[in-house]
Amino acid sequence: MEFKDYYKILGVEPDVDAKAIKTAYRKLARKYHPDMNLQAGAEEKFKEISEAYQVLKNKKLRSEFDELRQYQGKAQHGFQPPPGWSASHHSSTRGSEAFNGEFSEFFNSIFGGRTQSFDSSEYGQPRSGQRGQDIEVELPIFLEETLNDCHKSVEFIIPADRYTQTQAYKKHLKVKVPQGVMDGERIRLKGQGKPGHNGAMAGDLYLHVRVVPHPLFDVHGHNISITIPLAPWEAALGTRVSVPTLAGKINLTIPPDSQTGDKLRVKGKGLKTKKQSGDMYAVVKVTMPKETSATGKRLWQELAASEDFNPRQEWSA
Amino acid sequence: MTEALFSISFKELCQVEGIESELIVEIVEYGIVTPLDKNTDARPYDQWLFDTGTIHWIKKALRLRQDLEIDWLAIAFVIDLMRQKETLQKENELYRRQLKRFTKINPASD
Repeated sequence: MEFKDYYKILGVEPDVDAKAIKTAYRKLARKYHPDMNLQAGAEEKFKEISEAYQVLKNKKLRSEFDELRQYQGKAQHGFQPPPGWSASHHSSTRGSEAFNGEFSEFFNSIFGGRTQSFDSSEYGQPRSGQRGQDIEVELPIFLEETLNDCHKSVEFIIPADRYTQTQAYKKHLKVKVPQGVMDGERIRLKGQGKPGHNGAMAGDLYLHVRVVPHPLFDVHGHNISITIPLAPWEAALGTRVSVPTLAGKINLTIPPDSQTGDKLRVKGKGLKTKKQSGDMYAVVKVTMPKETSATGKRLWQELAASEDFNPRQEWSA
Repeated sequence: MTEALFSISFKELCQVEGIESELIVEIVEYGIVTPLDKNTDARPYDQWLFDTGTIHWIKKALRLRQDLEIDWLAIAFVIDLMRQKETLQKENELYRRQLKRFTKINPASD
């Protein structure tokens, strides 16, 4: 087993006072807390820091740790607790989704189940009948799938359990995702999380809905938008274009003198819930051809000569 | 087939993290989470219903309290800022995608 020098982990000297330990912990927690730092490895680092702080903030545990640290200095190979050390066989769980309840082997063999916090329900041995852990997984879903109820297969991992000595295993579920589900919503599946201890309730499974970005449509609440590229003459003269919607194509009349950015509302072609139907907005984008033919050039020149239009009028004031 | 739920009751919320009911009332009072029926005074708290996203924020709040030893008012600020950040990030992604559709000839191809 590897000896963990909690002073080194917190970056303090072994003779510092409790206040310095708290300050060092706060600085590191601010830097590595998984809610602030999403980089890979930050969570592991925070676990280590948190473990060190649990021990060093507690006078009694700190002095026990100091003793062990002295003893470690004399050891030749690896770390073994001194003979007769009252190692608890308890280990820790913590009901937090970020940590999945694991402190190091070193911590568990020396201090397991004995820190102040570990006596509370958040830590320590599972209370008799402790509810199983909730699990959250992402559920990618296509925009088209939200228009009706849809059936999705979900695969997720139930984490290993020290107490029941069960290995992590994969679980499959078929889920009926109701019509009108929105990006960011969480679907709760009662009792599909980690099994509870001693016959207690299982945790829940949460499916965090992620609507996959669509190549054509953008989503604004219950409404969607699509960009319609138009040739300059189509924008000038007006036209009728076939426009895709989430459910087949429709013909849309573009009025003459349309501008880039103009929005045309198509009622009822947005996202649908049981209660309401959103709209689709077709947004005009005037697009120039990449190359212009000789005839085209001549016609543009005619137009340039005959029209009195200054697109930079705002600049001349 | 498992039934998809979009809400969680007050009682269930207490069971999830072994939270005392008084603590949930306090968390609501700080505005960290809000029951679905916003007129909370009109209902006894044990009849409150929350949307399923509530769990995510309550767990975050409890974790911040445990790990950073900060008070509820500070946690309410942090959670509020985290939510704002999430909303702004989403809006930002949407505007970037829209901008691409206007500035590229064939935005769907990349």
